[in-house]
Amino acid sequence: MSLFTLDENQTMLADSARRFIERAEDDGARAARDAHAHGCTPERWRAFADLGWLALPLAEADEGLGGSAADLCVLAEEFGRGNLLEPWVACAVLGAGVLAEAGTAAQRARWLPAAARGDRRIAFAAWEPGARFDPARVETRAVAAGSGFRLTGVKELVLGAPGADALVAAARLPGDEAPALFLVEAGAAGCRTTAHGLIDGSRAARVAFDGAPAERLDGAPDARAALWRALDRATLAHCAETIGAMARAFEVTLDYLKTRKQFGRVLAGNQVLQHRLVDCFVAVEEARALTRAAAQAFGADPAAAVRQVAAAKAFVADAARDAWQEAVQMHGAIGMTDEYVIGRYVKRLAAAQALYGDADFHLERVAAAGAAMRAAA
Amino acid sequence: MFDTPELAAFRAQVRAFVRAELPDDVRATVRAGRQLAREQYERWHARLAARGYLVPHWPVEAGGQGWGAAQRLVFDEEMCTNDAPELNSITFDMIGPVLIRYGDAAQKAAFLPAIAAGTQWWCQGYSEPNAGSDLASLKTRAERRGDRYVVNGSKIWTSGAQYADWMFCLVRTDAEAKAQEGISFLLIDMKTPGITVRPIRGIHGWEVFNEVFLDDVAVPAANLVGQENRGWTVAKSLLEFERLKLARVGENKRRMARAREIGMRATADGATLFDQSWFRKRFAALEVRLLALEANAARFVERAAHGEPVGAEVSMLKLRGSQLIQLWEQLAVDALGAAALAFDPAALHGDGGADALGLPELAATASSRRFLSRGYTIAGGSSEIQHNIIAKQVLGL
Repeated sequence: MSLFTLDENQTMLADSARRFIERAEDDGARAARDAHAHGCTPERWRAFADLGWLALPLAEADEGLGGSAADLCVLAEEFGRGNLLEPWVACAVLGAGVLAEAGTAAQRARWLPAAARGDRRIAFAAWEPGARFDPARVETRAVAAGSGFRLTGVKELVLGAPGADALVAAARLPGDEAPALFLVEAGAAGCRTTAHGLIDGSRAARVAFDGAPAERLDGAPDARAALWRALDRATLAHCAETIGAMARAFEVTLDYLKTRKQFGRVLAGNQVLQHRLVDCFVAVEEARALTRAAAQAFGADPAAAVRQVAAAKAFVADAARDAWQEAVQMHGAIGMTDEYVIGRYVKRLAAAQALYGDADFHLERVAAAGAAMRAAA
Repeated sequence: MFDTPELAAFRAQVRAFVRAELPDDVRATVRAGRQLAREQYERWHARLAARGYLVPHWPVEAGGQGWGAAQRLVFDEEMCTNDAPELNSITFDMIGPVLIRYGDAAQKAAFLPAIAAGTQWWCQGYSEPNAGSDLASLKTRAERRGDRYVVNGSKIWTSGAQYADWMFCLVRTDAEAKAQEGISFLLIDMKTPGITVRPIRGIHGWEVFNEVFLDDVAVPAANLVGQENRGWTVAKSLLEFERLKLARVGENKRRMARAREIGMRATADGATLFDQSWFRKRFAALEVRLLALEANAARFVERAAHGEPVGAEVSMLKLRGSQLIQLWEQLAVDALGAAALAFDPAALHGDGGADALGLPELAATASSRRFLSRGYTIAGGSSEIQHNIIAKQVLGL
């Protein structure tokens, strides 16, 4: 098995994704998405389902295609390269993923085949106000009510929530320190969703639960471990998306510097810019190698891969920041222009710095993993 | 991180070997961050050679084990993380493989057995006062007179020349030819009359570099490697494995282990540096960069294992690996704080100066090692040259 070379299926997946995105992602598609309240048209989500992309993250037992974390990264990199903003990572990888990790067989059967077909979309409300990016810091409360539960609390930055059919959220039961996971159907009484855009053009929501009826996902013995597994897998896919966007932003910048002339020669003829371009290039290569290695490690043993997954996100977050700042600076004033192509990548990369946890958050996870290793040694 | 079951077994074997066989005084010198004496190296070389571990990357017919890149990196990593000294790459990784590839039968017979036994030391006569990164502008000249060359000129930054038995040297044999043409590759016995070696004390306090003056030095024509005026081809033939090794993953892990040790040392009330947010975060940030370097190097190892060329982009490993070593060394200095400011030249040579000043063992050499590490981004193709290589050959600029 190769760690770094794409296998035959992955090569096909990448090629077909790139072809689809090049054909489908034009000004019209972009305008339709931007105008749609959900940041994703039903036609586009249907197309993803037809391509098998919604089934890819799910296990075969759940009528998915059983894709590995590395497979998800291959597709995600194409999403980032084409700057698709639909909530594929948020819903197909994370939302459905956390339900797959924590749901009972009956709950999985009710939701996941439908999610794989594109008939249902699930979002995960991972973070709360003031929790920074720590999904285990949960203030939302759950109380038993009849055969189910009622949730009260606030979640923020719920990616892909606008238009989702269900939300998964962590909440604490009375007397329990550890959070449990619950499912709330969209439109339930006591569930107020306030949609908003993000700086990169994607959509999220703030969700306030006020006694919202909820069903507990009790298929996993340890809900916290289950949510971290789902979140780490989505974090890897998000890293790969970001790497695709970084790679494309780099290519656009390189092309621009090879054609733009100042002082009688192309900008790329200046050594000071050549060396900075090299640093941008190296960062993409290192980020991709690290993320791929982390995805392979995650596939082998998710719990043992925490240090590598966190390292990948910490590295990608800083690399994304450097990439967009250098892209703006090397473009000059045109890089500050909203309608020029580089501007869209700049904003995506700036958002990606913080999404799924920023560099500081993940560095702290790396440090905690190191402390555990020292204690065990 | 990337071990197959076979590599993991091999790693265990190498680890057991180094832990059992590395002489205690050598381990102590390395752990204290000091420079080894030649005699210490030679005892270690002999043990490595007896096990077939001194030049395992050479082909079997030349006296090696024919190891591939993956085995080699595992070996280096175990050596580094178990306090074995960094071996002289000029001798084992450069002149050895150059002679295997370009040497004639007589040259191979004359030199390879002694190099493989670890008893013959080499230095590299490339840089000159006016030819550093721009090596092709070198001026040292060799005139053919009968069956010998007569060499005049001077070399500088020649690491280890004061201990070396032989020097491989780039000399100009055709003054009319331009730049890289007209350069030849000569093997010079350091005992030849007319050679003067003057050590240069570095900012770190050690005499690592030298000036080498060549004054009518007679070199047998049989010591020419390759063809006359074609020495550039020989010089730039650094094999792909060597370029992979320049990632210095093992050397980075050695420094990470040293920084970790400093960080774990308890200070007041049992609190360690790892309990302080600045150290904890900086350590984690370098750890992340090392994981990235390691993953990136593993990608090239995989290519090499599949018989694919690693390409010019392998330069990024040297670029990042050398920068990262400097960051670890700086972290060690910062972690030691005031203790790393005190300086006693005697302590650099193991004369007990650190104890006399009552400093932690690593503090006595930390600043010197930090200064020494600045050479990693200068020697062997500076970071600027690596940038140029990638810009030109990979990005087409």
